[in-house]
Amino acid sequence: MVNAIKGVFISCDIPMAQYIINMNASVPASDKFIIHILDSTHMFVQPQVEQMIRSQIAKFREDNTYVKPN
Amino acid sequence: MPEVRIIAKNFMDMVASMPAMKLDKLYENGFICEAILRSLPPLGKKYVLQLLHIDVPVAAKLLEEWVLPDGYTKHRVAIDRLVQLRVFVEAVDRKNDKTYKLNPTFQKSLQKLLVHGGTLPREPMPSNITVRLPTLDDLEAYALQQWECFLLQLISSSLVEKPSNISSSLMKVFQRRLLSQRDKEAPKLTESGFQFLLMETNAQLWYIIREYISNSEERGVDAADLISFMLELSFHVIGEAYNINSLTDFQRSIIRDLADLGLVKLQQGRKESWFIPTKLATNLSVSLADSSSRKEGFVVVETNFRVYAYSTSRLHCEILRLFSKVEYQLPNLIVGAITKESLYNAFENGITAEQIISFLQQNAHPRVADRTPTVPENVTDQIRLWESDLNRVEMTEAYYYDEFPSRDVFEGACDTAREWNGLLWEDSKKMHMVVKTGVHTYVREYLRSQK
Amino acid sequence: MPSAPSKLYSDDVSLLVVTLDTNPFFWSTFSFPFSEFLSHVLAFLNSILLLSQLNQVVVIATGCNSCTYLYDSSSDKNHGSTTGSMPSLYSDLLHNLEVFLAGDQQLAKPRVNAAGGGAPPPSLLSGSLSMALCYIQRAFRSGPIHPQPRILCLQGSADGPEQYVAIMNSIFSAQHSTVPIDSCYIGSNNSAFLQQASYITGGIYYRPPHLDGLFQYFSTVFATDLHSRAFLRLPKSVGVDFRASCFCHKQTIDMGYVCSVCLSIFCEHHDKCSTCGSVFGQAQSNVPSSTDRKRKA
Repeated sequence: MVNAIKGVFISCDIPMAQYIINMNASVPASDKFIIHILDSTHMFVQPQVEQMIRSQIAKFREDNTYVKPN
Repeated sequence: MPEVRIIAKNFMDMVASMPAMKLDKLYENGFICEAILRSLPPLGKKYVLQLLHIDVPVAAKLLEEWVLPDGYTKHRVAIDRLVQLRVFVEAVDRKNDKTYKLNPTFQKSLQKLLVHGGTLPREPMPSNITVRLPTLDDLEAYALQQWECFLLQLISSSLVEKPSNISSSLMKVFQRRLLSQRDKEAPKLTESGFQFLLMETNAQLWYIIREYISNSEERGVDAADLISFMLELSFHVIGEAYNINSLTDFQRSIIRDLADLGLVKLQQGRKESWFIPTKLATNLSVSLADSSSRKEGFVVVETNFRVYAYSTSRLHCEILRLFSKVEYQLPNLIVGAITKESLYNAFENGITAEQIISFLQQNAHPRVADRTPTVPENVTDQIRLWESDLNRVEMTEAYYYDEFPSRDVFEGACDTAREWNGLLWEDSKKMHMVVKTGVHTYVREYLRSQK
Repeated sequence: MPSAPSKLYSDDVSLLVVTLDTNPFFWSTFSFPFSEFLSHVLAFLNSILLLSQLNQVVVIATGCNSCTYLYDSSSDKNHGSTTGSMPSLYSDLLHNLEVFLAGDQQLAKPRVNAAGGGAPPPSLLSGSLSMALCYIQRAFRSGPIHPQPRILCLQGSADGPEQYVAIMNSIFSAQHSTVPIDSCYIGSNNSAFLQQASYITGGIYYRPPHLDGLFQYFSTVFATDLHSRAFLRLPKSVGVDFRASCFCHKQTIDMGYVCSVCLSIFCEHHDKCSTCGSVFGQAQSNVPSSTDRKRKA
């Protein structure tokens, strides 16, 4: 019997994939959202974490951005 | 810019969607035939010319033989456009082959135009009555000023010192898709509003005219009359005065709105009043086709991301403020810089990097226009990189399938998903696959049928 | 010689410069009357102006002794008329043509009965080509945005071999500026010069078989703008006549002497090249003398 799981398919570059995997590792076991890691640039995660991942990535980008003080 | 084609085609689509009887009536006017001819793609124009004096239907295959194989898509586009506008009449001959013939009304009007020339329903007024006619430069300045005033008022009425006479209800119609009104907040530009500002003048003009025409139908005015007047106006001579009394009542009622948009200038003499078409009006028929803009630019972009705009217009300042940080505003120069923050701001508002880049390229100052590339590559590359930086991760709602009973079932499911354009990822060794949520039902049906 | 590829244009605004053969000697003996020919041409020019507001048409008359501009659609006095095209096109062009023909006849030098006494004098194609190219150069310099220029030669008279050098120079300068030269030849035999012109510059050479349907040939073949030519099947030249004329006698020759410095062609042995002044060596003994050389006209 074929098994079907509903979720969100993520496609990104390798550094971003590693960041998401790291994010997954740092949350407590009940909150882990990665269902399958498909390959180095794709993964399958739970449906409700989309917004959370986006905001974390935005924060990561802001942290790594240098803005010249005016 | 793709936007020009979309808007112009929408106007043409509006013309094409008119009922056949009305369209044929429109084609009795030679000028409308000329305007429609000028709006066709180049191949379409050629086909019309070739079939102009041929009365019998021509086999579609014969028309195809004139085209080389790699021009075939252009050929199809031209033919589709011609049939859509009912310029070509499609028929089937005895051998069940498709044939084309020119619309007889269109053909007759065009033949008459070719041999006898067209005459407008009105003549310019003699110069002894019309005093103080503005020079061509004055007229162009006037048209530009009216149009900018209108655009500024469109974006925000607070920016304009002297509002035009367009009724607020009409303004609201124009603002329908461009501004979003939220309670207790000032109206903000929507994504299409931003894209509208970055389009070139002719595209903006056609957008406004299209909204005006679709709104006029709601008010009970006949769209066909409006369309024919607009197109007829584009054949008047720029700078010449035409008596207002030569207009019908209906035309007189809309001439005022056209003056507010900058298409005509109204002047009053001692006894009579007249209108003078401006460049905006006479360019109407040119801009229907897919040709590039022929305006002089004003923007210089340098490799250090600084933007210098030689312009005095407030509108240009507002447009530049959309995506760059305006630093100084001098009497004839606007100095700004393209920064990451200003671009992120623009991206959040829905403007794409391509729109910004094409705006900069289209409006390049003549001094840099001959340089290739007009906008330095490091600037264009960086704008694109900043845009892609915002979209590093792509997320799609999907379903994950595994534990297939056999390879054949797996292959079949993959093919089904591929047919519906929903296959996102597959691993043939482990027999796992991911499909889009929308396609899930089809794959499930296929799997059920396999049992 | 490979023909020049035409530039890739993104729109179809054209500048068409037409050189109209008005040689009275040719037209008086030709079966198709000039007035009918002119009506086809005028209808064709109108249709070009109809296709786009920005299209421009310039007509140059090729006479026996002079050439002149007959009509320019973009000149200022045309802005006064209704659409700037139709009525003024007819009246201005016809008026200018009459004035030109009268003037051209007055310029006729007294004709000495030359060796080929029966042949009608040729029209000054080289002159009108040069005028066309000068106009196009001016159009190129009018700004970064300009219409795509092309030249259309409407010719009926035979080639004048004495114009060979001048015509070849015009052809090469047209090739250099990527301006295609189309030719519509209605005379009896093919014109070698026009075939070469169209081949080298990437234009179309066509001899319409039926002159009654001239407008149809014009609108099918010659109305195509440069942008669309990339996708359309247009008449290809078969067998271009590449014969040259010698520089000393201006007669068409098949074999001759060529200066190795400047490539000028001579039919008989000279001591010095008349174009570049380089001194030639001795004639080779096994070459037959020039007087026995066959001269194909």
